[in-house]
Amino acid sequence: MKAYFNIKPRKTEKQIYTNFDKEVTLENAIITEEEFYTTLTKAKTIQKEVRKIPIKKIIEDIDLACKELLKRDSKIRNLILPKLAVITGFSKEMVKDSFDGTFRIITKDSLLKILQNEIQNPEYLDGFRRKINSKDLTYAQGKSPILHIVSGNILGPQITSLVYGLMTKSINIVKEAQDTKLFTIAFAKALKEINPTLAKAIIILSWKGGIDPIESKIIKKSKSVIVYGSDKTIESISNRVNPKTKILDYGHKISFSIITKKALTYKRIVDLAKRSARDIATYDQQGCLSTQSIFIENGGECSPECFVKELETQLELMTAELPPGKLTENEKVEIHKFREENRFNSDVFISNNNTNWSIAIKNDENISLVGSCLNRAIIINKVDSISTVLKEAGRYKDFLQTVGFAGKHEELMKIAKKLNHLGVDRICSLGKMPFPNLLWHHDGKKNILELLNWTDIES
Amino acid sequence: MKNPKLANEVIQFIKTNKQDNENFNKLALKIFKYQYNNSKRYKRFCDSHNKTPSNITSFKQIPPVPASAFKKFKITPLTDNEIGKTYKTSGTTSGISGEVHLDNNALKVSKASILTNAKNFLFPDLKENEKIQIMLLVPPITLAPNMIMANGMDTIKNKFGNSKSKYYITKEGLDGKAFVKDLKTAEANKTPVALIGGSFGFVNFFDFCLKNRTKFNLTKGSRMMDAGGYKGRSREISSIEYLNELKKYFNISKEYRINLLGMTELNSQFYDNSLKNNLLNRKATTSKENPPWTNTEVVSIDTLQPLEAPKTKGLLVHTDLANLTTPIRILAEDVGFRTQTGFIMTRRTKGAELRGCGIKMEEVKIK
Repeated sequence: MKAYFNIKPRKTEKQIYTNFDKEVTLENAIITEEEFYTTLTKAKTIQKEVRKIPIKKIIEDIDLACKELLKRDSKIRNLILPKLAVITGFSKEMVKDSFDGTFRIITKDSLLKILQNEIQNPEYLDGFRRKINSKDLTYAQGKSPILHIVSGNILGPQITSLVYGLMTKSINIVKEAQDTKLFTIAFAKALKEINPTLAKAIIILSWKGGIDPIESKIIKKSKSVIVYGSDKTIESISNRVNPKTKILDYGHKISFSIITKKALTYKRIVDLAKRSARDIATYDQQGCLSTQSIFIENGGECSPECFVKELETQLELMTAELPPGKLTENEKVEIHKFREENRFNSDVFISNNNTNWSIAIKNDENISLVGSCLNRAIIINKVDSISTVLKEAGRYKDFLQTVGFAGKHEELMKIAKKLNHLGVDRICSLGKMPFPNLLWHHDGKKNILELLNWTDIES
Repeated sequence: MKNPKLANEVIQFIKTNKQDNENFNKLALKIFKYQYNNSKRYKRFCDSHNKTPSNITSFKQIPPVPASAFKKFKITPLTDNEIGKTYKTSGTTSGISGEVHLDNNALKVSKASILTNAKNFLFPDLKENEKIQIMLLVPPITLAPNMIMANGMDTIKNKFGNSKSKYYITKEGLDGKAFVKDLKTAEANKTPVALIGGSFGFVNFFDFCLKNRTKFNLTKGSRMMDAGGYKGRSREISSIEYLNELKKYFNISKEYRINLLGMTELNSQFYDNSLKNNLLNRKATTSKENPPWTNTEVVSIDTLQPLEAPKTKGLLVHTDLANLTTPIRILAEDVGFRTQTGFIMTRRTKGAELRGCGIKMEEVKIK
């Protein structure tokens, strides 16, 4: 199946994926510089049409496209979901879960709320409107075209990124990791059926990141660049953007969980374990929102050991609900190394006769926020005080993302500001870690505001 | 010294050089007990597997320590005062190297293992006390005191090398001129030589020969032992290409090429049985053959349970009686399978950090 959108390449290249005894062939576009410029020129004429669409209509049509993809009988959904499992190696349940999780939260209401939060009046995107508490007029227009570079094998962020781009009425060039491209294509196809003009603002391409010379040309032509990836990728892209081009970078991050002693009660323990298992299992822990370690305060009604007992059960149940994806031999070896190395200074609990899940329990002397090999390997740190957590987290200051928190509100408020100082950009309840709501300041940023140019008319 | 008696028993076993499963097991369990009782960290690891000297009867029940663990922990039954020698793993990928520690007894055991092994597989055709010209493309101990391979090769040179034997790695890199000159002399005098070095050092030399349109018609009995495998950052050649180039540039045929698999975490090494097979007229696929004081098991990559069927691929677990002060059973990050006469390592897992000295050899540029 075609793995590009809104381009007509002369040359394509086939890529075959095999997993779970099934095979999927993707046809990638290999575009020349000339083809890219032609596409871009065409896009610029489309730009005018897109800017004429009222923001309200854009939001409604995105909402409809997402609703369509959630329908069990959606043609596009049924075409793409099974393929995504084969391509990514995630189990079909996992792919379905993240597909639904992503499109369920993109609704008319949520999109309106983001705009209200970030720019107050969404109609600023349609034309000059009064500023709040002022007679001045203002109008915002997207810094178009936007280049979205999404690396990594995660489903979800590329869609929100694209949706934000569409709301600024910009042309969106999406360069995505091979494995997840069909996810974006599903959305683009659904949108095309509802609003073909708006869908023309999406161009999905691929090239070998960091190697293909076309990359630099496209970067130079983009007015905004959104990049998800490793520090190395981000640096490589940043070095090539025009000085006036806005770059929004989302680097690789680490997330962790905290359970205070007040939260660890007989009444809540099963629920907490279940929620933690969800945070660990989603995307097989590959996401930056996946928890890698759980800090548990000693001295609660239940002991951390009791929690671990329960977590074992829940992780085992989770292997049925959200089965682990296919692991490579290298990943399996990493799991064995995680398990066996931890036995030298930690208590280790593992799934029976397979590599499905692993738990290592550490105490104050050897606590560690990092060290998970991912693929459902969780570190449990028993701590006497939450201040220990802050100290440990401080070592990874620039890499922190989400903190899953279970405890009393007043306990949270005692540490929340400190977590902000450490760079944590989201605190949520356990079980919700992989699914941020759209209002989130992703990586601590305003995500739409950064993509806009404003013009004010003073009264 | 806590272990001289045990060391002597192991040395005796190695020198006997006979397959003796019962005594192998007995000795392995004794070593395990010694290591378990004298290393708190190792004890914790074994306890975590619920394996103790009192509840196991076979060495196969001893939990294997992943080679990567040496990068994180000091695992040794020795006290700091007892440590006589420390070898470092190369840590080529992560930059972090691990350490293994030996005392004088362990060094004696290690020496017995190196010499008996070399006699078995590298020099099976040499008569008692016969020596050969050994040309070494490894750094001498003075340049690499913590490199297990440098130590092993030195031991081999001292025992089997004649007065013409020489190191060609100097502080400045490979002394190509001297190496070429000595090869030419050996060629002219029809003197057999043993070339010893890292695989990539030789690949670099093949390239040198190609560029300079030179080759050496070494006489029969000449042999090459290369170690370290291919480390991915330099020209990678298949085993067949290696053998072709070896024949082309050195006139050494495949029976006289002995590849060596060594790990810092093991005091014994595994040699190809190519030359041994040739001398015994044994028609078998060249494999790494376990000397009688070692055992290699293939375990499932999913469960770490033994895979009994031959030719089934899995991870390699080595048991080495020469590991007196290093955990006796080691889980390598290598994938391989068993053959009739030994095992074949097919690849090192990618996330796994590369070990050995090949990387050092590869960095050596021809002057």
